[in-house]
Amino acid sequence: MSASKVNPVTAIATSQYDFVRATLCVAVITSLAILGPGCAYYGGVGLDQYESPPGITQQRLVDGLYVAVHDLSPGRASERFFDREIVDYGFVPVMLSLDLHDSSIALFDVNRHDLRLVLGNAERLEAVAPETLAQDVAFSYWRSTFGFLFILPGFFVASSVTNANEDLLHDYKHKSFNTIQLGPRWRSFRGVVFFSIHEELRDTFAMEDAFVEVKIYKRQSEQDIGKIIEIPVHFHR
Amino acid sequence: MFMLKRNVCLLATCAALLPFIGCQSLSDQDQQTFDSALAALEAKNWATAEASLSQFLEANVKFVPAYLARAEARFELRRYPESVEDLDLCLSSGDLSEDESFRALIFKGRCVVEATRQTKPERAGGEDSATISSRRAARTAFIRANAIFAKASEFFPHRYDGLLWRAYCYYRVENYRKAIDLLRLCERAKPKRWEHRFFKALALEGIYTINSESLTTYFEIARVGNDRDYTPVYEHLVSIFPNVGRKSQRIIFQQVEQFSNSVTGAPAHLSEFVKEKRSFVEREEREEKFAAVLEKAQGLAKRSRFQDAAKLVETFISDVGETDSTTQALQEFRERWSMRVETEAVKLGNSERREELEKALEKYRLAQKLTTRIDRLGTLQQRIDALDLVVTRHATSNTLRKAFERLRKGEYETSLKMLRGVSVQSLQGEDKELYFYLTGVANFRLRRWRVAAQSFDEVSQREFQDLDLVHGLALVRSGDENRGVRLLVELPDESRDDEVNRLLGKNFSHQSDLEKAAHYLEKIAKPEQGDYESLAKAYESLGRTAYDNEEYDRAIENFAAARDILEKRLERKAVDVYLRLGNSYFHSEDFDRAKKTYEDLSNTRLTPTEQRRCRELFLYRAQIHLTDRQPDLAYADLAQFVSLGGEIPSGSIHRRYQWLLATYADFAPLDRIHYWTYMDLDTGKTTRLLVKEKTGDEYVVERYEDQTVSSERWSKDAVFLTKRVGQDEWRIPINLEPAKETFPSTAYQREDDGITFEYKAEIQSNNETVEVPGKKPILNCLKVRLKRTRIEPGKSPSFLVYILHLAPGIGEVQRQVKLDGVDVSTIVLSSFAYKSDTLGN
Repeated sequence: MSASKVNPVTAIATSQYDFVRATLCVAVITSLAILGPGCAYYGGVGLDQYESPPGITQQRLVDGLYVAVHDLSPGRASERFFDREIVDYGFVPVMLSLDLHDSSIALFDVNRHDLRLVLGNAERLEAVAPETLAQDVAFSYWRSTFGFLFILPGFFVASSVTNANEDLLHDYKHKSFNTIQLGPRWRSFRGVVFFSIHEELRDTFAMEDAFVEVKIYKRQSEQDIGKIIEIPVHFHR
Repeated sequence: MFMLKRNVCLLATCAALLPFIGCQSLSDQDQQTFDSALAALEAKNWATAEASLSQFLEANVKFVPAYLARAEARFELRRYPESVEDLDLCLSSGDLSEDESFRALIFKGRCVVEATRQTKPERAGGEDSATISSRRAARTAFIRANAIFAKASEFFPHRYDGLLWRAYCYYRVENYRKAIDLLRLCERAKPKRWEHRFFKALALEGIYTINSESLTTYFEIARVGNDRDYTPVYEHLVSIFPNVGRKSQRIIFQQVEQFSNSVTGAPAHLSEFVKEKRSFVEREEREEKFAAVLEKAQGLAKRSRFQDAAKLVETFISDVGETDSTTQALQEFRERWSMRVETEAVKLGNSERREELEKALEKYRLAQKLTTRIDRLGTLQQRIDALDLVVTRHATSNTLRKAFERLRKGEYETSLKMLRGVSVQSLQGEDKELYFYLTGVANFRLRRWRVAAQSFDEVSQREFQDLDLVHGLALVRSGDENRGVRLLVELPDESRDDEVNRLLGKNFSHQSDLEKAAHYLEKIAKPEQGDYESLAKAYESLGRTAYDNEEYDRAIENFAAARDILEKRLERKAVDVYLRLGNSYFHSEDFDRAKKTYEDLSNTRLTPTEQRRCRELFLYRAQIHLTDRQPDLAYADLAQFVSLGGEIPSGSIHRRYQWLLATYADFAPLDRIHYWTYMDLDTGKTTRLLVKEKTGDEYVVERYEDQTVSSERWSKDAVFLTKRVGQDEWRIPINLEPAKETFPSTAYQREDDGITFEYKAEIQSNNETVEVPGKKPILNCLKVRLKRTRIEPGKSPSFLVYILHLAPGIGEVQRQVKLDGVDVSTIVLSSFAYKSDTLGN
């Protein structure tokens, strides 16, 4: 086709068509650009992926129960297991590891609410429920605001936030515990306790010399009154 | 304490220098007061120092070194809050050098530590009985103290005291590894100091509980630490005392004892510990010594020298004293000794020798004395009792043996006398049995049957020689026949002597158990006359019984045995036995033997009575003759049977007898009858027939009738009696013909003067009975009919009929006469007489 033979009407129509098409292309590309980073998803891995640094865990043996604590607050660990740097939100994730001695037949009960994280300045932090934490660290819907400018992407982003928050809550719940009983039938356990950092401590908060006071209810049988043991369990050096 | 001396020197130096550096100037009096306070401090006269410094500070409120010195004095006086106040004042003054700040902070931290230690001292293993809240509070205190020490370390990060007390705080919050890390730094800083080694050992205990490394460290420190500063080490040693081994306990005790004795001002509780544990340790030492003794004793015991082992332990007990373990060991050795002695006793106890038995008894008693086990005590007592009994029985056995020897020699009274000396109550088992046996035999031989039987009754073991024999005889002879016989019967054949067999035979004879009687009588080896008689009687009775039961074989056996005994042993006629033997043969159809037996019997000279008793033989022999087709012999025997009073049994034999009688009987005994007298029943007239002489084969018979005498000639011709009476000649059949079974008859005629006389005679019957007035009916009569017909020419024939009844051995017993069919007369035998010498002929 040569230029001399171009019909002007047809040419105008053609140029209008191209404009619309270009506009649409821009809109689609923009939407995709919004959707890509705007969508939220939760990516924390399970505790079974945790590998204790060999030889440096200060495991305690108490009346037939091995107790160890692991600090999951450092950035990489926190990102890996909780998809967040939780400390930034005012919480300290600590993994409690309980293993029954081979010869032990007693029952051991550990309650999340009886655990205290003792800091180097003798402040004691209390454990909080995973729901509390999840609420504070949840994905924000603000990210969908921009998507709603283009209407459709907004819905997609909002939906992804909801799903990610649900996943997060589910995962935190799954990793934490309320009460755990170890005995001959269940001899090993790992769970995370989230300690809340008081507002006034957040600026000076440090995990140096911190340890966890673990209170354990030991019974020889279901009918036994048992005894309460509390020991300080230190993190690895 | 260990830091004090050095600090005081420093304080004194600082205080002396202060005026020169222009910080503060003191008056002479104040300077003197301050110096004296420092001197008191150096002399560890804490109270004086504190008082002096307080007095000094009232006048010199801003003199910071005095606060520092007073803080130290108060620290030593354990007035920690006040000490902390002074130290805070010092620290906040800003007048302290880095070194002073460091020391002030160290003291402040130590005040916290010591205050906390007062309420919560360290314990081995980190466990104590404090409440959770108090432990939590203690942890808080140590964390805070650690923070203070950390602040001090900021001035001098590698200074020993800072590191040491931080490590101690970590230890108290149970962060053992971090404590150990810091204590390693202490080691580098001041290797000669002992505190870090002590704390490190404590931390290691926290991780690994009490261990050899920590114990070695404590002991090394304590070995050189004869100073009050070392008190914590000893206190810790005291606290771990219950949790360590025996050897470590002894070392702890020794070191604590040495410390409390040598160090002035050592804590009182250490002295109390020494006092309290002394007896314990001494006991331990004693037990250690005892362990050595025990080892030696065990070595002896291995070589079975239990007695020596026990003596060794006994010696130890007498030297050192008795404890549970020594007593137990002594008991153990004694027990083993006892068991060994018991084993020896058991071996000796099996001996037959009295001396060895007595030794065994002694050993059992020793074993019983040595043992303390209740079960063995009981067992040994039982064995002692048993062996005691055996020894006693041994003596008794000797007596019994001697008594037995006497008995064998026939000295029964002596034997009994010896046996009387034996106590029956002391006897048991075999000896008791033997005693009663010997007593029984001796009495038996002395013919004291009842006593003998009573003794034998006591013997339950029946294996003694001839026990049942003598017992049974004793019983029988003492009158208890039933029991005696029961015993004797059980004896085997070879054990019974003639006396027993005789006794049993008679006994069973009395009981009518003839079979048993015969059995025992037969066994008599040397029978006597009476034995034969009893035996023959038994056999005869057995034969009769068998005969009555129609067991003829057994009957023959027994009768034959009886016959043999009677004939050969007793030389006596065995009429009845013969007869029954013959009869038995007869019934068992052994006719040859029956006949032989009957012949033997019939050939024997028998009395009439015996003959009558034996008449049956004729009856049976007659039947044998009949079987042998010898009717004449049969008739002879039957006739003999009847003559001896026998009655022919009814039936075929009786019918046969009738025929035989009719055939062979003598119906005209002319050679034996003297006369017959008849009476005419119709007329009452009497007819008499007198047998006169015999001429040739004829007899002359005179007939006396109506006062007339006529003579007749009678003779026998085979089965006919021929009679000639006047002109008539009568032929009367008086017997049957043996070869025929029909009645004989005869018919003939005679001519006389033209008149023909026809005669016909026949036997009509052979079993007629004729009633004779005043006499018994005469049986077995022949009925003979005679008919004479007179035929005279021109006249009608006339008939004369005689019906004669002939009785065997008697002849004619009845005559009926009919003439031409009309009864003329009937005559019957009224009397007859046999020929005799007295009557003539």
